[in-house]
Amino acid sequence: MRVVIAEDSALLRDGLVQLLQLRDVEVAAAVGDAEALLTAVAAHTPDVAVVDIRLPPTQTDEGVRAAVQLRDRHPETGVLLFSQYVETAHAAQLLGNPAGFGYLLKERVVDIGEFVGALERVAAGGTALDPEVVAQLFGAARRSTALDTLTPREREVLALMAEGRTNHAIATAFTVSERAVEKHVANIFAKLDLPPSETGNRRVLAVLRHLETGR
Amino acid sequence: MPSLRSRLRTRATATFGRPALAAVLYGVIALPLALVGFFLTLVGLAFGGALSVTTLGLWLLAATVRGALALGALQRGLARRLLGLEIEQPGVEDGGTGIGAGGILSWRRGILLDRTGWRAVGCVLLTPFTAVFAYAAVVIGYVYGALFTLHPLLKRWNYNTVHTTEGTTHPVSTDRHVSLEFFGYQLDSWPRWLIPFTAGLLLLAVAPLLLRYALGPHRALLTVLLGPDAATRRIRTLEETRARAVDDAAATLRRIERDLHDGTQARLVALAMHLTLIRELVTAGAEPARVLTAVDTAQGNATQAITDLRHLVKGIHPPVLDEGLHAALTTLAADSALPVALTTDVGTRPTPAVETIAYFCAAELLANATKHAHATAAAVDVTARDGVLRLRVTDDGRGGAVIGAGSGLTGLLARVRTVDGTLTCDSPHGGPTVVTVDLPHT
Repeated sequence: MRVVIAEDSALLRDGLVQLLQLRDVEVAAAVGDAEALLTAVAAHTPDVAVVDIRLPPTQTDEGVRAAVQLRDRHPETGVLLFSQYVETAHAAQLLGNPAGFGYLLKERVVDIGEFVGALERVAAGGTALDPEVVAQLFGAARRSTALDTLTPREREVLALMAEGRTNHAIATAFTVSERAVEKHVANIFAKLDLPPSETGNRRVLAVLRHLETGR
Repeated sequence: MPSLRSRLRTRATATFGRPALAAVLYGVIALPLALVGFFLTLVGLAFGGALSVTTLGLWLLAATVRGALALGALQRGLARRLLGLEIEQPGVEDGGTGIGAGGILSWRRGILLDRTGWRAVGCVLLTPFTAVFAYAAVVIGYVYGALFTLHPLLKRWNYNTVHTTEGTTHPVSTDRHVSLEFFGYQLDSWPRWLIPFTAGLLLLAVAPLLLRYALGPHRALLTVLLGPDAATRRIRTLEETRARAVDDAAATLRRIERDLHDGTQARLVALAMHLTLIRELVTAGAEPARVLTAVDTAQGNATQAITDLRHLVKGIHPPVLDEGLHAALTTLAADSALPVALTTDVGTRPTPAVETIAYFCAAELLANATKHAHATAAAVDVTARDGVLRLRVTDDGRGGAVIGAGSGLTGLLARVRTVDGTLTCDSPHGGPTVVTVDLPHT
């Protein structure tokens, strides 16, 4: 897997490069600002671009804007947004199309195995949302009383679905059979009144939309 | 020594310059204006008072008060334009622009109960008595001064003919022209007309001074009765300082949040990542040199995070301040780049808020002395007497410090005012600079 990294803190950047290389991920380029990012992606066509939300010069949302441009110009390159704390407001426009999109907090890097897994998911066109982000969405979803009808296990499965995990991954995480997961998913969809045959990214979208708007 | 010419010019501008003529105009207008206002108000009050049992009477009174307020506003405007006297708008309780929610009767009651309105009425009733002095000063100083000075010219046209008959046997009648006569002493011929001439010049020379003293009572009256009363002024100060305090607090919190987030948290994330890196390197059996480099980087991050936090805490509330102002200032003096002579004489401990403000003022003033004044030595004195905690910071730098124009002293003054303190700065060019901060101390 080939990646390009955009992160303005040199310390973090170098550390991340070393970590990924130790896990046999090819880092084609590691840059410090949005301009260089766009150039590097055009030059190397990586599978995923890892982009810090805050980049110079204003340190507000250069990363997000560059990510939007990347999605336009290089739709086959996944984008993983990287942030010190949850800034879903900035990332909202990208959350609308979760295929090949990810949003992780920087501290997730500590578990490098998970991080690489998320990269692989995004590179394959899936979704990878940070559990913190999902938790915030759950917390904000006061309007959905339907969530209260879920059993605790179903709520856990829903959270992992929102993160973008496949049924197989969820089954592994809870050490149950994939069939059991499918049953949970069907129940969840029934209780939340979502179209049942959604899979993959459409599923994530449907769950996210439900969490945000209560529909 | 200023030459005679320049001194004459200064005198001339003093008497005939723009400010002086503006004051003359004011002196001339003020009395008629005051008299008109006086009579109108008196009439209004009389009729209104007489009819006050009826609703018409109350309306008359309300109209009189409003008229007085309007006249007061006019007076303030005239005073500002012509005399350069700034009187702040008094507080109006009901916001006398519109009728508002209570309906027309409560509006009227608001006017009648408003202290500001009645103070304005009082002012209107008293101004004739003060304005008359100004008028008299204008007449004596300027009018008579001009007439006396121009007497040699004017006597040609301005005279009485006195017909005297002398002698009993052969009456001889003579006519003489008398322009100015003072108890039989005629001042028309040379060199006697020099007397009124010089007298006139003297009068003109002192006219502006005379007018200024004559306007004194009038200005005092206007300031006391047309300006905000003590309570309103106090409220305005409190509102201003409170807004400032709230802004300050919000800004401080933002700064702390930013420092913690961008500084400390980022370092800890980097630290965590490098620990992960170390684990990966060890698991992958990398050579020790590489592992140790990662360890060094991790340690660097940890140390830096600790230092950042220490500075941050010092900026919020230095722990040493808990031991009292003397201990905190001693540490500050020791840390300073300049040699600092410190004397403290504080009896009972001040409140924590006062201590904190005094400490941070001293810190900033010492920093200014080092950075801006390029001083070589400084002295800090803290004394407490008569309910005032006085902090005085002296330095031997190059001076020229001013409160205002973006200097740090403005910020200090605003912060000090939030606890009703004061800050004064005596800093002539070339130094030395003495900044005195007074804070309340029970």
